Amino acid sequence: MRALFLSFILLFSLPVSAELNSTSPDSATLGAQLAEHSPQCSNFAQTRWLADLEAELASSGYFQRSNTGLIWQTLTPVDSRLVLNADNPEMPLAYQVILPVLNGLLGGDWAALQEHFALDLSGDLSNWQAELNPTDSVVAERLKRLQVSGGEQVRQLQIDFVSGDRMTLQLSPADCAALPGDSSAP
Amino acid sequence: MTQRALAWLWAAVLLACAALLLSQLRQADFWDTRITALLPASDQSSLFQQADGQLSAAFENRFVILVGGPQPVADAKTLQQSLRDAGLSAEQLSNRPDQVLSIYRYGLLSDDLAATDNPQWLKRALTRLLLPGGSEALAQDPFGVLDSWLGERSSSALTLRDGVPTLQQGDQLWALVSGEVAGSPYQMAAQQKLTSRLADFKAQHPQAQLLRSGLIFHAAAGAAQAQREMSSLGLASLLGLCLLFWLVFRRLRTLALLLVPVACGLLLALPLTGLIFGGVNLLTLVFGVSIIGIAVDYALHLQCQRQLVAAQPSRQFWSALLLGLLSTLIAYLVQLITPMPGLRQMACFAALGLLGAWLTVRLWLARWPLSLHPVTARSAALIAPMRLGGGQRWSWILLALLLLIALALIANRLQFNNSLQQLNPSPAELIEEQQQVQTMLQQPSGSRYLLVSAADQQGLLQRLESLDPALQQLQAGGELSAYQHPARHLPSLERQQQNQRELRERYQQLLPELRAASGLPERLQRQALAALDEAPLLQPTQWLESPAGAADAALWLGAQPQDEWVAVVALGDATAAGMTALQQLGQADDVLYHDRVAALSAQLARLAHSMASWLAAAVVLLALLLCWRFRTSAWRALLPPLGAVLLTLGCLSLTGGIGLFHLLGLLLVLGIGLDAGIFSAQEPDSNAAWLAISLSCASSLLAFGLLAFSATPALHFLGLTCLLGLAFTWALVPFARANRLDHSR
Repeated sequence: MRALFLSFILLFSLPVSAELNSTSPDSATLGAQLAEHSPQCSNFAQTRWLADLEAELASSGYFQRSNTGLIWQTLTPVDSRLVLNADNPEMPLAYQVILPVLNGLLGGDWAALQEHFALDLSGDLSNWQAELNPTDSVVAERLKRLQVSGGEQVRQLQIDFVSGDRMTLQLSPADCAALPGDSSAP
Repeated sequence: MTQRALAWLWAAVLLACAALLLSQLRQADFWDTRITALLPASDQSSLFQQADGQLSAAFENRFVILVGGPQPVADAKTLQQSLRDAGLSAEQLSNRPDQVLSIYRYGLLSDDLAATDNPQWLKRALTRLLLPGGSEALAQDPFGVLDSWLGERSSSALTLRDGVPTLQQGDQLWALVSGEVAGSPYQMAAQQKLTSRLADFKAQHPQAQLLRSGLIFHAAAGAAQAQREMSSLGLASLLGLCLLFWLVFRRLRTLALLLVPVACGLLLALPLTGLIFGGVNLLTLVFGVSIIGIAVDYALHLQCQRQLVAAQPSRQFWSALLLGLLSTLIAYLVQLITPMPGLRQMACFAALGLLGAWLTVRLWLARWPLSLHPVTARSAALIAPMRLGGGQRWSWILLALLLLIALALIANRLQFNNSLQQLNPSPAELIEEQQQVQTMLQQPSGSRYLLVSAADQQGLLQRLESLDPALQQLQAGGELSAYQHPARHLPSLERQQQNQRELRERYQQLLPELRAASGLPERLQRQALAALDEAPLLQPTQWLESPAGAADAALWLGAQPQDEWVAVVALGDATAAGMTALQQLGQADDVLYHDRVAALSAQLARLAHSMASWLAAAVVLLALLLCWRFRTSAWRALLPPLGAVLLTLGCLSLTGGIGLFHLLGLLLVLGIGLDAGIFSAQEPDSNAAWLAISLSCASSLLAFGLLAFSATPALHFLGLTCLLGLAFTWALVPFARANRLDHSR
């Protein structure tokens, strides 16, 4: 009896989820795709809007995943290298809130993100957009909204801060071996 | 008034007491489990008292649980929520020092940054600028001065994960759950709430590892152990008592009759003591219940007398019973004069209880219809030969030898031992967990501190700042596990101004370079310097009254009557060398070193010493009274109580020393020994008296001697003393009953 009931549910639920899939990707599928295709290394172009200075600061470089954390290598305007890790004393204290969000976004860990954000997905798997609004009060104290878009990988990422600051990241996959600078040691 | 009217009057009094007790038991704070509540209030300098009070509120009511295991952060969230629902949570997340200190940051320069050179400052600023998702207001603090300050001051490497403070220790991530008890951690209601929440959590999360730290856990463990033993040992002694009385009296009614005086004694003592002292300490109750042993005496003597001699006891019997009451009352009431509130409470409780029991025996039991059984007479006949006749010289010589050995031991080896550690009933695992947590979090325990004073507020902060390097050195050298004082978070105005000057210099040198490297507009320099110029200084009240400064407010005693400002430096565990260094710091005129555990031990020692000397005074008084009453046969009355006390002390001098609880046991031994001695002197030939004495010693042995097997140190000491003392009392009675003809000793 219970098996019968279950199969009924399966039967009727299948077409529904398939239909959803055709209009907008569900977060689990997208998460799996991003986790699979997230590049080991990526070039970035960062634009930071500083509200208190009313000025924009552009920087570029690449990042590389490593088991100690994300290695963030800026090449312009200055050469700067940083391991993004919660235990790194060089990080600002407030960054402890941002870091898991950034890791979730770049690694496609939607499940982790959904603990703190309401996720709104649109488009299809090859060209999707996501808007994330914080549901967690600790996060909401600093972040206003996240906008992410991409295909197999994340291509663009924008964070609006409560302070009025804004950060935009353009990402493109890079060949780790061909990157300039010392990429073997953090 | 007739006997009958008096009996009714007594019933009315007890009824009123019962009503009073019922209303008292409804108050939540009627039971008090603090040992410290028994100590005199005026015993310490009022500054120490004030510091202790504030530290208690800040440290003793708090507790911390570190959650380990496979998913510590999620588990910690669940536990914190459960504690919050139970009203046991401290809102740690609302204590955001970064918010309070934001506008004062220019006066707060960490030692770390102050020691760093300009290129490093510049690198730091660029790092923060280029960090993806960094959102700090740049013009406000381009170099992250506040972050460095807070990072240096957070007591350990706590990092927020998912909003939960965590700590990495080797491979294990620990998540921190903190809580606070609203009332006293000794209150059983809070203990039970916390224990049950933790038990629920453990049942649902068997994989989670918990490390507990906080006074409430120790208090709860102690209370639980005492309760467990009260029930196991208590049951054993109850069964033993029932069996003993059944063997001798064989009548259920007689058994019940023996308990009536005890119950009435408690019924009188409990509410009246509560009324006089505004509550009853649990220690008083533990000890007070031990008067049962003496209270049951009166009933036993009456019962044996009525069954074996005469249904209506003679005037001599009543006068002996009255003398028994008076002599015991003297031993207890002498304690009433002492300056120790604890002793006064116990003495009052015991005296009222004995009075109640005696009145019940005199007014009610004598009128009760008798129910006899032949076994009682046979029991008396069976033990009747146990008394010394003539010619038993060797027994006397042996006794004299034993007493001399006991005296020699007492003179040479008897020591007082009142260390609190000796009385600590906490299980070893709990003590270990607590130490682990304190080491990981680098928190001072608050049991040791320095009191620092100065003529004014700013002078006090400067004095604390001048002490800081020495303390920092001790901590860095591993001699001191942690320390905390208000000036760590609250620099003196002078220091803040100096920091601002230094920061302005750095700004002027580095901001142009930062601008050139990053391409930021000139505006950065202008805004940053303007913010620095307008910055206010952090005034003490602003920090101490903020939620983030609450921990420092507990260490801030403020203005004192003699135009003095005082603050506390809370200290963690120290090595022997560290302790010496701290005591040396305390040599200065404006610094005092205080160890609360040592001070409390010293107070317990004073309590024990004062009790011992008042006890000695009572013994002298009693000896005089009994000599006056019994003349040449006074030795019969004095041998059982005094001999037993001497022999017991002799034995105890072979153990680790005696303390308060041994002395409480001795009081009980003295009380029972006095009754035994008085009846031996009054009627040395009476088999009824000898049976009653034997039963009283045996029943008290069962009731209190069994406590010698308790794992709670205090109860063990009390029990061991009773076990030895009562056995000696009983063994000495055959000497006290020796044949009248025999004066050959």
